[in-house]
Amino acid sequence: MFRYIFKRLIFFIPVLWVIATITFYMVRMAPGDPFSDEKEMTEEVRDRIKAYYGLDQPLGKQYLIYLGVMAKEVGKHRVTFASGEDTKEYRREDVNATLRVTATGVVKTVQGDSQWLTRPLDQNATSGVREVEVFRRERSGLLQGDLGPSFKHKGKSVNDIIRESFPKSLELGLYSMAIALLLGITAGAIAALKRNTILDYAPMSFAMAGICLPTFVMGPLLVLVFGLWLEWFPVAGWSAWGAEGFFPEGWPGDRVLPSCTLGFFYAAMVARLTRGGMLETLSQDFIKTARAKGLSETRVVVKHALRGGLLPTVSFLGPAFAGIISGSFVIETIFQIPGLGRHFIEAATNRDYTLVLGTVLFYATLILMLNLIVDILQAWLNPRIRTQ
Amino acid sequence: MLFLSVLCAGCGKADKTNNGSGGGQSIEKGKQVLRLGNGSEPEGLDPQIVTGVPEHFILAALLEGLLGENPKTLAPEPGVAERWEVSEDGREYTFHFRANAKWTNGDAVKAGDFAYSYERMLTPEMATKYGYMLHVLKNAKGFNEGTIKDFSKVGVKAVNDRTLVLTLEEPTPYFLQLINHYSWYPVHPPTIEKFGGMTQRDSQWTQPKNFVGNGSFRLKEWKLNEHILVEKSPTYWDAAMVQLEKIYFLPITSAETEEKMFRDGQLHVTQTIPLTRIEHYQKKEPEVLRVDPYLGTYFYRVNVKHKALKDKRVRQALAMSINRYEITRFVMKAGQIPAYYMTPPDTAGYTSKAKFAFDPARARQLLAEAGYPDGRGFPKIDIYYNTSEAHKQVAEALQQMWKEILNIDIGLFNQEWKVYLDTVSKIKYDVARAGWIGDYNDPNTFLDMWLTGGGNNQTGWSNARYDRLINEAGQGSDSTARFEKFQMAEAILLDEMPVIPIYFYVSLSLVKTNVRGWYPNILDHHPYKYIHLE
Repeated sequence: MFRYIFKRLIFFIPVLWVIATITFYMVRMAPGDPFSDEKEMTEEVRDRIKAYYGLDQPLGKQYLIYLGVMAKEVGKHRVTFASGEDTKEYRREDVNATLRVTATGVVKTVQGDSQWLTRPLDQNATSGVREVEVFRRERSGLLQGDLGPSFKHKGKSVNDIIRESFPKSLELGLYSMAIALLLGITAGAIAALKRNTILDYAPMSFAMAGICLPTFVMGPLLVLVFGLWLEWFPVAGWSAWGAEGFFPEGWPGDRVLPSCTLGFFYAAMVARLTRGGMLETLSQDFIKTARAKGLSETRVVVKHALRGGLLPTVSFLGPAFAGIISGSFVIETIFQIPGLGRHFIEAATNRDYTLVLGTVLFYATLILMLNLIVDILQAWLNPRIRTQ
Repeated sequence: MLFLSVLCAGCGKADKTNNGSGGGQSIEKGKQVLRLGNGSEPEGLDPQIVTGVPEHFILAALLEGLLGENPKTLAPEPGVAERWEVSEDGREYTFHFRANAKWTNGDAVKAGDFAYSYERMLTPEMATKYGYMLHVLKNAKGFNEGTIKDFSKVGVKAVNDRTLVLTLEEPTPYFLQLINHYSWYPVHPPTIEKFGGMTQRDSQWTQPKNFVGNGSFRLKEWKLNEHILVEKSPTYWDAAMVQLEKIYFLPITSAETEEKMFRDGQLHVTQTIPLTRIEHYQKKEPEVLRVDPYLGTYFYRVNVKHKALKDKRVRQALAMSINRYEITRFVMKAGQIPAYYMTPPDTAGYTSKAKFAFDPARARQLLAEAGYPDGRGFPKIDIYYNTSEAHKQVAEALQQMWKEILNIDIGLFNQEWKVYLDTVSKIKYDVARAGWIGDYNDPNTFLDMWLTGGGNNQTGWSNARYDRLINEAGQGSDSTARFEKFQMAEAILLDEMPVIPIYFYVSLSLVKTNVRGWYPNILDHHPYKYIHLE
């Protein structure tokens, strides 16, 4: 079993590499410029900004730098010496180092362990002003776990953005999943057991409606009824835990409507899948055997039928769970939730190359991991798969 | 929904004490905490890098320029400088700093800090998009473009810690308005140096734990897509005047969500209103609806190199066959003003005398003179616009009007934002929707963009006489003479019609009735030190 998991984990590497490569080139082929906006800038400004983010390099080199195979110049800054000045000592807070630079271009790290290089800039003879460019070479990319700076959100790295926004999507996703499973499996199982009765038709009609009703209709509808008319829940927002009390104490009420909107949608799918799976399992011989042996109906359903009946649901849940916890653009926009889902879409429309790549790779990793977990779960649920 | 009601049984009461509904994000009653809807997530908080309007709303709280502005009239008021003088020839401005102007870390705000900030803004390596805002300073353009290397040649001089002298290239009558733009705000040099130096673009200095500002508020929290929280700064020189304790800026991209949050009591002020809700507020709650004139024009660019559109009679015909009253009344609905010239009326006292009119008969005649009687032989042209419901509706209205009046076929071409920017920038369109918001209160900001080869021209249009008039008007100090030149220039623009004005923007917002000191003005600037909650 561990060997199997280990083999699967090793297999992640080429998959992620292929995804990274394809995305890297695809996003750069998209028309439009990450730095353009309604106010036009001069060509020179555009070129300099592109150079700052390394977009002036040949594509192949950019790719190797992104992967972290090739070193890039970082922390580039200028040191200016007035006439008569020869050395300067200053601190670099970003790497926690103190540097001493001479006008002739010798750099020494007085404190700290970062390695710095210099490059002389044009020396202005008349004013006696001399300038030296100081920089560091660093391999920092995918291999080192660095997803790079966001082009759009200045001063934030892609790692920061994912770290900040993913927990919110995850929290919302877990509530929604709980709602989806609770409602979906219960409704699906009951419908299968009470086939062709009102207990089948009613929940299945609801489920059909749930699938057909997109979240951007369901969301505002719930907001209108429970937020604006009944005033039970906030219409939008994402307040911190432990803020003003709601239900239960300290639990922010603004989670309810988005969780339900997302949860109902998945509940509908889970219900239909569970019903289908259960019906198929219930018609099988081993269920007849179980009943013939005189087992109680509860035991037949819970122990035997449900276990087999859940198989389609479980294989659906892997990718669905990855989708649900990595955030939904629609839900997050309607309910003003600072989750990861909005970054997916906004990064693409902003042509924020690094953020697009970062979110895609993050999502890919999630899917791969969850699929692995699903496979393990299925093996546990279904003896036939276990032997394969 | 049944499930929801079950879940909620018994919890409906707990939140009634709260304003509106449950949760911790509502307006706090009795406290001076302002909650503003602020459009989109700011690009950053570095005043020398960002370019947007949401950024303005935040930076105006965190930083203060040389001067402040009157919340009603926008007239210059003492800011960091307690007084200022202008030389006889209007080229030299001397600012005397107040002794108690402080950064949030306690340092005094010095003239040298402004000089450093302007150098940073203009340094070519920094590649600032708004560098051109400072080009009125002597030699600033040369330094910004790299032809002058020595910053001491630029017209910025810190005579001592409390005296800053700014020398201009030419007398610039709107200079004191111009320096209220955030591109003229100072940054704290030691902080900039500490986090990567002057030219670091994605510096960490803007993070809450590092930010050093000199405004009436200081940065407390910056949560991406969630909120930015600022709190009253104890080091601000006029702290006694500041009544608000905190301000939340919420980046809400969806106008529908923003309006619902306002209704739910989570916001004091919104940035916008969904088109569909305007009528409701006009009829039912006019006291919270604010519709104010705004320094902006909605217009269409015309590609003057296009085989049919290169004839100015065709462009005039297109302009004259748009019923702007119908567009503002039935499409935009919020009291936008039909535009028959480019510069919004009463921009710093200037209103264009030249104008055209809605005149279908004349339009048909012009089109016939251009060789397309009753639209015969006119090639099909496309209207390009970026994805937005409002842009689409305007484009559809134009398509219909041009078909009915001129009998010409128009296609609609919807493009995603970045693609649209690319199309317009490369002039690969026939007719393209556009908007322009003035950077400062002077006609120049609407008229100098049509100079030959100007970065924002993007129509291919060029007129030597127009260029000369605008250059002359940008420099004079006598406003009557300048406005005379702008009048002549605008008349040329309207005759040549490389752009077709559609309407003048209004700023639309919802403001709770307990917000005091939020005055309408043409730039939509609202200095926070004059605002309080009742």
